[in-house]
Amino acid sequence: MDGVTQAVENLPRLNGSAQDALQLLKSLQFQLDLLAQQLPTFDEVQSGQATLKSWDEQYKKPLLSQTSDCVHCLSTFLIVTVGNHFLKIKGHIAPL
Amino acid sequence: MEAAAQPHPLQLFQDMDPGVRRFLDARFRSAADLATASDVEAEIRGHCAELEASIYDLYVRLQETAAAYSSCCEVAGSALRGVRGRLGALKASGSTGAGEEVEVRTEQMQFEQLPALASEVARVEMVREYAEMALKLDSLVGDIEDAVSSSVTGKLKSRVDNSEETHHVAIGYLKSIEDLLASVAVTRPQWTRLLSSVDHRVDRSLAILRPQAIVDHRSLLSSLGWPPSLAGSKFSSINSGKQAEIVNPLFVMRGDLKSKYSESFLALCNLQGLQKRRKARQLKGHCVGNQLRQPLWVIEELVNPISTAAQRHFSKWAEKPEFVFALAYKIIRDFVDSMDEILQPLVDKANLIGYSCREEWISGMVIALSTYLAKEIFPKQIEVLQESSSSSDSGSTAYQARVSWLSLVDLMISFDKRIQDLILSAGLLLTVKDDDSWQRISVLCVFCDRPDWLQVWAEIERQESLNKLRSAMDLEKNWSTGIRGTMLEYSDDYKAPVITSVVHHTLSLLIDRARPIPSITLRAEFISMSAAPIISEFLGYMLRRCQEAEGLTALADDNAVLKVSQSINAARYFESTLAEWCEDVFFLEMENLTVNGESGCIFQQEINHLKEFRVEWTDKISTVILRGFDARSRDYLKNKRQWLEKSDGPAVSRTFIESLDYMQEQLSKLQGGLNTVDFVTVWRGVASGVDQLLFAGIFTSGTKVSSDGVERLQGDLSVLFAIFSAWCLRPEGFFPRLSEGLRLLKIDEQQLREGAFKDKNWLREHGIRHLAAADTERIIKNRVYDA
Repeated sequence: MDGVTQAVENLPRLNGSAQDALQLLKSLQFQLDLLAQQLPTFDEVQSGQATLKSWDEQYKKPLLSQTSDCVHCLSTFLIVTVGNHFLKIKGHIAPL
Repeated sequence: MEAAAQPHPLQLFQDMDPGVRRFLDARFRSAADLATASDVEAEIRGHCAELEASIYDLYVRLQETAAAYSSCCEVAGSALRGVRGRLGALKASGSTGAGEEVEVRTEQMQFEQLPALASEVARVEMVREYAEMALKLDSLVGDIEDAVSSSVTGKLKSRVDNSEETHHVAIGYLKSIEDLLASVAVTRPQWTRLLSSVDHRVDRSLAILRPQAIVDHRSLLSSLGWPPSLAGSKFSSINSGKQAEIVNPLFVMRGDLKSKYSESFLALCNLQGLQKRRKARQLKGHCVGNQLRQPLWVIEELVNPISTAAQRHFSKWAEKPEFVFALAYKIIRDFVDSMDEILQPLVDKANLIGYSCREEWISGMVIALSTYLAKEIFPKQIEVLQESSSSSDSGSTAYQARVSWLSLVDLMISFDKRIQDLILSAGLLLTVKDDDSWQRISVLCVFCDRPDWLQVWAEIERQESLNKLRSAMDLEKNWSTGIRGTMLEYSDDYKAPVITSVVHHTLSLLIDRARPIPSITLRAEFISMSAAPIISEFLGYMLRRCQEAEGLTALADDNAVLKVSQSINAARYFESTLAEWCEDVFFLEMENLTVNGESGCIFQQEINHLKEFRVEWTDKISTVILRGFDARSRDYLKNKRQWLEKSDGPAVSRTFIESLDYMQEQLSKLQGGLNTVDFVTVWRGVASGVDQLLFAGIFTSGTKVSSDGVERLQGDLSVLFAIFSAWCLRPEGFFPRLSEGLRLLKIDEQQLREGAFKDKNWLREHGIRHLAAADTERIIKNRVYDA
């Protein structure tokens, strides 16, 4: 009974965390769509758009366990791919 | 004379049976009782008739039983005689011993007969078991019927002292037979006829026993003083807030009455437990779910009389429903502790699993109250509403009717809140809040039986909300952007107008009204009928506002663009807010209820409409800017000689700068007015349009371009890209045609080979991917190199 009580009490908190993660994911997707278009070479643009499409498909699956994976991989991709090209440019990108 | 008469009566008395003597003594206590002699005679004759009928029934049953027994004996005897005959034949054939051949045949014959013999023996055993079980069950059923009959007889004798004992005896027999039937149902499921016939007879006994037990229980409750007088709950007492005490008979009962009540209570609980077991056995294999659950009979017997007494007070307060709820709550609260302290131990003693006296008491009273509301209060409210809506003078009367309805619902919601607090205060945790368990403790379950009343309620709520909202929407200052607080990380600043917070508040209130409804289906229906139309109304208002601006100025005016921007921001805000709401469990559980099988949340249709609106008007803004840019670029594009002239003038064309200034000004204003996401959509749309416009005007219109023209074009495009660098880091990425066209023009003549422009690999090496082959060929042919 105590375990059940704790589980019930934790549900709103878990739901809130899931919503925050989904919000972050949407924001990152938007930034990826905008930044991918600005990559120097065509292959990089296509790679970024392919990743965006892949995560968009993942997003449609109603599995909350995918959320953290999506956010982690998307953040890593943004940092590695986009940061490498704009690291030396003093631009308008806010810290991720 | 006196001496002669006296010995005669004495002699008669001495010869009388003691039972008869006691009977007569009870009837004739004094000379005045002689007047009822005819009644006594009628009673005696009735008893004789009943006894004779009983004897006849017993005789018939004895005959039937004897016949059945005789038939069973004959069957068994016949089977046994068959076995004996076969055994004799076997022995005879064995003793013959007529030789080896005969011996082999005999052995074979013996071997072949063994299975048949075993089968016959098993069948005999089965028949014997069936007969034994039938006789045993018949005996038990007979005991039950005797106990019930003696119970009735005891009732006729008015021997109340023995009624509980008689009930317990009968219940004991019923439990024994139920145990037996349960084992038969498991081990011999094919004996369905036996089970059903026994059930039929037991059901008849129960049909007699249960009402009698309930009648005894009720008379006992009356002797205890239940229902207690509600005179203390008078109008003045409730109005003044004084806590008038209602005497609780359950707390004050003592001694013999208490033990009698406990026995009667246990008898009813045992009966209910037995009934529950029987239903479970009979319905085994069928998925009945909660249909087996019944209210606790003993609590029902407490609820029914006190609710009947309370309704007499309710009737006096037809115009004051708050007093109805106050009295109902007071009754529930005043007696709820006695349920825990006095009655719960008895229920536990009876082994009725899953029953809480507190919950049963609260549920019974709540259901009684909701029944009263459904029969007395709501029909009057509906009648008043219909009269006010149909009458010509519908202003004040209709408003009063709606206010009255909303007040009633408010009382119901607050009542449910207090009831749930009462349950939670006892430590009962509502961990599983399914519809069934919730409806038992909520007066709002009235709407579960009458969805049309829910629709009336939703319509009233929608109308009241819309009336407030329209006045807010008409205020122009509400359409300015509100001041935002601290921006959270990754949270978008929608730059939504103030009106959105008003609409948001209205929607939140409506959704909060839906939360106490104890049915997912009805909650979804309420929100669909009250909250969703608010969104549609707001969207319609924004659409008219935008269309008005478009109609007046074709969006060329700054104020018109500002109005459209505000509406786009509001649509973006609500699209995001509704989508976020639908991630909550409260809305997720409604997604499975869509009748048409549509996917998505309850606001999916509204979200789609908001998105369509936003996309449409974002595109309109982009189109307007493009149209203005195109108009201002006409002279620049028509001047085809500039691409062949030497560059002796300014590095950038003056006419082109004017077009660029216009576009930059428009986009800068939009950046301040639109939310970030939609602004990105607008400027990307403008960039795409400019890319196509200039490419078509310069590269594919047959214009000849010299080396000096290429330099001038590069200068012009660099200014264009510089404007868009305010919103991105590499603007060339959003002008693929112009970028690649310029790159093509800058290729050195020596690198051009005959037909090379048709080679895809060659083009790819030079970064040309977005241009068609025909366009590439035309550009190269129009390139003029220095001689």
